[in-house]
Amino acid sequence: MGHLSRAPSLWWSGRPPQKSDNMTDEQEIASSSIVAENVKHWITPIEEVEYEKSMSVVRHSTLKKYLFILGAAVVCVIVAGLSLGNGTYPISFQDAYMTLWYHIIGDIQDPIDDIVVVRDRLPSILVGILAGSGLAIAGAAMQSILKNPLAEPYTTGVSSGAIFGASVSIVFGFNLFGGDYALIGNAFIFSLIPVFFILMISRLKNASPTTMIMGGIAIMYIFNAMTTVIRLWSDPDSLQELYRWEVGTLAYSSWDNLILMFPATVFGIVVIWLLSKQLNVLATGDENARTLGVDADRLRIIVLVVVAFMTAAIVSYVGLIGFVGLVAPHVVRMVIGADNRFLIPASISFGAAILLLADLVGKTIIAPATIQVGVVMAFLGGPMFIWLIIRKNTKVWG
Amino acid sequence: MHVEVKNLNFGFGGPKNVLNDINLEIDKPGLYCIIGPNGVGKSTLVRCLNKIYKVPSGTVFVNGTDINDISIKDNAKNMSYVPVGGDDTFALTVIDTILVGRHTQQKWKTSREDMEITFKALKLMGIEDLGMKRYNELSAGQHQKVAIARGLVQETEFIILDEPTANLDVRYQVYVTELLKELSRQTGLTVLMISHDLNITAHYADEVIVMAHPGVILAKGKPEDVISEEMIKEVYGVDCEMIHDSAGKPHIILGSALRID
Repeated sequence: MGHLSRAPSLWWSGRPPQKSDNMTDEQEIASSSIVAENVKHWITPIEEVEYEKSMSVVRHSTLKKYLFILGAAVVCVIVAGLSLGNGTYPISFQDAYMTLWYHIIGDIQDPIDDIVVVRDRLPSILVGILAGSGLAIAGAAMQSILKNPLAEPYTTGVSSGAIFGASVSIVFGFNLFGGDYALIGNAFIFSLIPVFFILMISRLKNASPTTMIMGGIAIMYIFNAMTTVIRLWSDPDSLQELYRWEVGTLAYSSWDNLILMFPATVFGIVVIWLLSKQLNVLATGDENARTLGVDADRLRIIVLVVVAFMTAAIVSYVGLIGFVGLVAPHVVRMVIGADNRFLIPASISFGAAILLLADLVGKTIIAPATIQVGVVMAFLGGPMFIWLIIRKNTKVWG
Repeated sequence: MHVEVKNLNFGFGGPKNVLNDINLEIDKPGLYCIIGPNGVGKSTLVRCLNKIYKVPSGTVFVNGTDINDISIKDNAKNMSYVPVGGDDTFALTVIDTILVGRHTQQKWKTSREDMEITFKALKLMGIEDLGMKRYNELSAGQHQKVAIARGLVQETEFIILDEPTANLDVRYQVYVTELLKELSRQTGLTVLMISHDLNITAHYADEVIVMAHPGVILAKGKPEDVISEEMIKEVYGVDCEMIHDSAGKPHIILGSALRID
């Protein structure tokens, strides 16, 4: 690499260090001993004891991050088990997982349990996991890329754009893509409109994070209004579907949903995860990122398009679920910090856990009546949103 | 590292150019200080050297290659940059912030080499205790030390610093400048820094580059040859008296401002 990595060998070989032509003898004496000593330390390989001492602190913090990710995953598994068992036909936590296990190994013990758990309840759990992790990552990535703590698919209007696109597809059969891809394809195309708008605002000088979100909320209202208007043309069947989207819910999830939702969400998660190192570079500022070889504008476009795609694939099935992308990344940052290489995977497990938990709470709190998961998330996310706006003034988002 | 600027003109689209016909050659390691009044184009000039701005007219050569033909990735291996301020919307820890400087070398997983140089940089800047702190918990001076450490771990042969000592106390102003000079002598690093401290510049710089309105380079040379009472009066519009220390280095005692432009 650079000269610095070559320098230690020069130093060790006992040869005099390279002199620049600018150096005079008088200047050589001028350097104070502390500078000379520190430079010597800089160009000498680090001592094992010193390295281990410094490293132990880093390892401790890394361990904490892994434990958090693992902990959230465990919560996810527990809540999923409780959710599989919950309903008008209750099944115990253990039985729920045993039924699942028997199904996987092809040795079904209780056919009724099997139908209830695998056919009826499992799809909504899997859709919930995908939606939770996908929306959480979408929020984390948008916040990093826009340097805006309030950004997420819901508050920037991306979700509403997608819902409008999906509604257009259902009501008018107007599709930019054919076949089964029509719904997501349309949702994706229309979710790019808010993305374009966000990119425009992010280029404005003096646009504060709040300005962008106010713009996003305006876009959200416009799209929601348009979605309401096109309901007038819809037949009763479609109408029911459109109402479902208005407030996000996992209740209508089926195995068919997963055919497209699964690959689309996983694709988005993987791309953003692979970009997490570059997101860290961007955290030090656009100009600085450029001097480190990262093109901020290009990265921003890639991430926003991927986020739009993933959001479209999710909301086309579960409807408008807000604030997952706000709550999950912020809680994760508070616990393990803002390093995107850990924030992204931690948001996967925490986002999934929080959405499943919100769903379970909605199903049990006033049972047998159900509160949709989107409503529970709004109760959770709304206050957090307000708190973030108020806390903005302290200029501490970390 | 050989950097050559030929007939560089640069503007932001206004009626007047920020930089006018800049010619500059830096061909050997050393501490180069750019001085000049506010708004004269110092930061703009260095931003043309590290590809933050695209060079529209004129040419910048880095080791003989036109900088417009060098990708930002390759340029990141040639030059590091220490900006004036940092961004701290989402604060990484100090160690992670410095590790960002390893972006060009770093694989997906942080290597032992990455960690070693980061620890050494922390020690070099006297901020070992801050390693696990979040960046937004630090003072402006500490931010600056972290930014310098990040520039150094990039391990380039050419480092550009925009007012690296602006927020530092006197001890660190002297220390950092002396350190950069010592690094240039011991490791062949070329340091190009923008400075507002004429005395520190006069004392430590190998060469001083004086910029003046309207975005031109007025003089380039050894401090004792370039820094004079007349130059300071002309460029800065400040009355001053100059004495020389025992090593023959100029020392400026500032009087009052003669004009505001």
